[in-house]
Amino acid sequence: MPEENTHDMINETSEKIDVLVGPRRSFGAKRAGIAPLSASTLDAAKRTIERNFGITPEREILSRILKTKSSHDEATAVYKYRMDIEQATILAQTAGPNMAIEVDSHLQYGAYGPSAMMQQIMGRTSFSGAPLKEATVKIRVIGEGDKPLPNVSVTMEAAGFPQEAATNARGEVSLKLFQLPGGNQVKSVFVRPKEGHWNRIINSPTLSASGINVIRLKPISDTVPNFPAGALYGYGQKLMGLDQLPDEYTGKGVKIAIIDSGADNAHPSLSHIKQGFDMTNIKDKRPDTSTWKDDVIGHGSHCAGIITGNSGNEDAIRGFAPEAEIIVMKVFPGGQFSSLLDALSKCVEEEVDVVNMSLGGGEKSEMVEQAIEECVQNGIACIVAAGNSGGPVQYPASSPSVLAVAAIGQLNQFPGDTWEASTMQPSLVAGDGIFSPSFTCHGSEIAVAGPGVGIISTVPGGKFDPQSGTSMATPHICGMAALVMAHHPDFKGMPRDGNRVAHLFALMRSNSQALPLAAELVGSGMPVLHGLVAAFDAGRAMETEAAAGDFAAASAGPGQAIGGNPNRGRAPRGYPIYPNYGQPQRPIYGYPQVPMGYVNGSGGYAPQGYVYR
Amino acid sequence: MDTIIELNVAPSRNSGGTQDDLAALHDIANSHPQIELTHVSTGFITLRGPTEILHALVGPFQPKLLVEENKSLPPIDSGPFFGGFSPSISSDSSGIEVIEDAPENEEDEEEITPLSPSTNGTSQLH
Repeated sequence: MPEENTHDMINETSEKIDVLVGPRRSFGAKRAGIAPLSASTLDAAKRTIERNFGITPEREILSRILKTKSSHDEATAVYKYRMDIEQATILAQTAGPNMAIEVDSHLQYGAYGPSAMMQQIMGRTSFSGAPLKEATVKIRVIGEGDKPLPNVSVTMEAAGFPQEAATNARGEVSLKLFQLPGGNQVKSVFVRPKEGHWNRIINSPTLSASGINVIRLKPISDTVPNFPAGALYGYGQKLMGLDQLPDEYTGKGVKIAIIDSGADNAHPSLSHIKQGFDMTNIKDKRPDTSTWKDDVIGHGSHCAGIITGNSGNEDAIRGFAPEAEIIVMKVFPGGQFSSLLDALSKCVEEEVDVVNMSLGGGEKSEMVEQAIEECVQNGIACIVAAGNSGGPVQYPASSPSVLAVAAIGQLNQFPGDTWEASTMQPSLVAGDGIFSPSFTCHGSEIAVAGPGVGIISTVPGGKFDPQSGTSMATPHICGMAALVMAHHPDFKGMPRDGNRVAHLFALMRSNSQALPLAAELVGSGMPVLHGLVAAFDAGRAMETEAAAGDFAAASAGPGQAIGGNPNRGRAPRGYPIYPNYGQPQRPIYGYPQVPMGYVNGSGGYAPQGYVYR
Repeated sequence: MDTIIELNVAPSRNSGGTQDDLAALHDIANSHPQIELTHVSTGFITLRGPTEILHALVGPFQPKLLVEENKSLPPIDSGPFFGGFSPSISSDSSGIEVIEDAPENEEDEEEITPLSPSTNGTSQLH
C-alpha cells in the first residue's frame, strides 16, 4: 500500500493528546554541544508532520518572545498539535537531539514531579500499552564497478521524522525504523554521495529487515560519457554559449571575489587560485591568508569551478573566466555577519570587479545593505543567489543593489530518479526542456536565471560532484558578468562607480534568452554570450589599436604624438565611452525587458548608484 | 547573569553618522573593563560584552550609529535537506537487491527485528 498515509492506519479509538513541537533551547542542550535547530528545519518538520499524519498545528506560540534573543535562522516557534499518542511517540523517537517533543500537560498548582509540567515523551515506548515495533534496516551503497561507497548520506523517511546516517568504509549504514500499530511503510530512501555519483531517491521501496539492501548509484560518467575526460563544458555553460566563445576570452584583467566556504586550490582545476582571506579565522585583527584553502563544506570549491575552473583544456571543467584573478573570501562555516561585512569591505579595498555570493537567509541587515551599497559605489557588482526555500527571495538577494539569480534546470541532464528530477514541475517546463525547479526562490527581485540543477563542478580532493541550488546558478551568472566586464568595450576605461554596475546588470538582462516562464521565477531569462561575441571582438580591436598607439607614441618619444590622437581606442580617464557596438545584440537571443537608462552613445546611464532590476 | 552578546556598529548613512561618531564609541568601549573590541576597521567595529551594558553604551549614539547583533550567517542551503524533499516522481522499488547479511559485519550491527509477520525470513515494509 505505497500511497496510504500512516495516519489512516491509526486506530480510531486511539488516545489523543496535546503535543508541543519546538527547538530544544535549554542551557543543558547548549552545554551538551547540541547545535540549535534552524527555522528551516522546524518548517520542514512541520511539513513532515502534515504529510505523514495529515494534521496541522493548532497554535504557534512563543515565537515573538524568543525571536529577539535568537541567533540568525535559529528556530523560535513552538507548535501545538493534537495527535494520536502513537504519532507523538513515533515523532519523539525519530526527532533529532535539537528538537523537543513534549506533552502539553495541564499545569498543577503546587504540584511537583514528572506529571506537573511538560512531560517528556522521549524514552517512553508507548502510551497505549501496545509498544511500537522497532527494526533496523541495513543498507549498502555501491557505485561504479560495484565498489562500496563510504561517507554517503542515507535518509529513510517513514512515519516519523526522517532518519539519516552516513555509510561506513564498507558502504553500509544501519537505520532504525519505527512502526505504528497496524503496519507501516517506508515512504522513501534518499541516498546522497559526496562526489562522483548522482544521488538517488527510491519511493516506496521494498526493503528487507533481515538482509542487506543494496542500492546502486549511477556515476557521473553515466550521464556525461568518459567523464571527466573531454567534458570541458557543463550543460549550463553550453546553454549560456560558453562553448561557442573564442578561446581568447578568458576574463583576464578582471577580479572576482567568491564569498563562500573557501576553495581547495589543491584541485587541479583550481590550482591557479592564489589569493584568499579567511574571515572566520582572524589573527591580530587580520584575516588569515592561508586557511581559505580548507573548504570543509565543498560549496565554495564547487562555485569556484563554475566561475574559473581551468583544466588546461585537458579535462573537466572550464569555468567562465579561467584567467580572471580570483580572491577567495571564506565565511563558512562559522561565519558571522561581521565576517560578511569584512569580506565586502575587503572587496572595496582590493578593487574587486564582481562578487559571487551564493548565500543568504531570511533576515535583512541594514549594515550589510550599506556595505553592498558601498561596493556598488566603488563599481563592484554583487551577484547573489535568490535562495532555495521555494519561497520569497532571501536576503541579500532581495537587496535593490544586487543582481538576484534564480535557478533553472534542463531535462535529461541528470538521471530520472535523482532529487534533481523531483524538483521538476511539469507546468514549469519551457522549450528545450528548460524548467524552473521547485526549490528556487521567486519574486519581483529576480533579475535573471542561471543553470542550477544537477551542475557538475569541482569539489575538494580533486573530485567532481553534481550539486543543485541557486548557489550553483549564481556562479554561472557571475562568470559571464566577469567576461562582459573584461571584454565588452563599454567597460574599457569606465570609472569604477555605480554606473558601471548598473550598465553591467542592464547588459546581463538585455542579453538574456527569454523563457516562457513567469518573470517572478526567471526575471529577464537566462543571460547568454551568443550575442556578445561581436562586441567582445570590437573590444579586442580597441585594445590592439590602443597598444599600437602606445607603441607608436613610445617610439616617437615623450610629447610627440604620431598618427593622431594617442589616446585613440581608450577612454580618457574618468570618462566612459559608448561605442555603437555597445548596444546589446538582441535580435537573436534576448529582448529588452529592462527600462534601461542607458542610451547608446549618449551616456544616459541610470542615476548614480542605482541598479536597474 | 547578563547574557554576553556581540554587536556590530557602523555609521548610519541615512542618519548622518560619521567615522567620528564611531571613533567616539570606540574610545569609550576600549576603556570599559567589561567590553571587548573583537573587530575594529574603518567600516565598523564589533563589541562583545553583557547585553545591558552594551546597549547602554551604544544607546546615546543611535540613530547615528547602526547597531546590529553579530549573528551567525545562515547556513548554506544547497539542495535537499532534512525533510525538505518531498518525493514526487513515480514510485520505483526496483534497483534494490537484498543479500544475506555478512558475518564479518557483526561488530557494528544491531539485532534485526522482523518488521511484520514474514515468510521465509524476509520482511517487507509495505
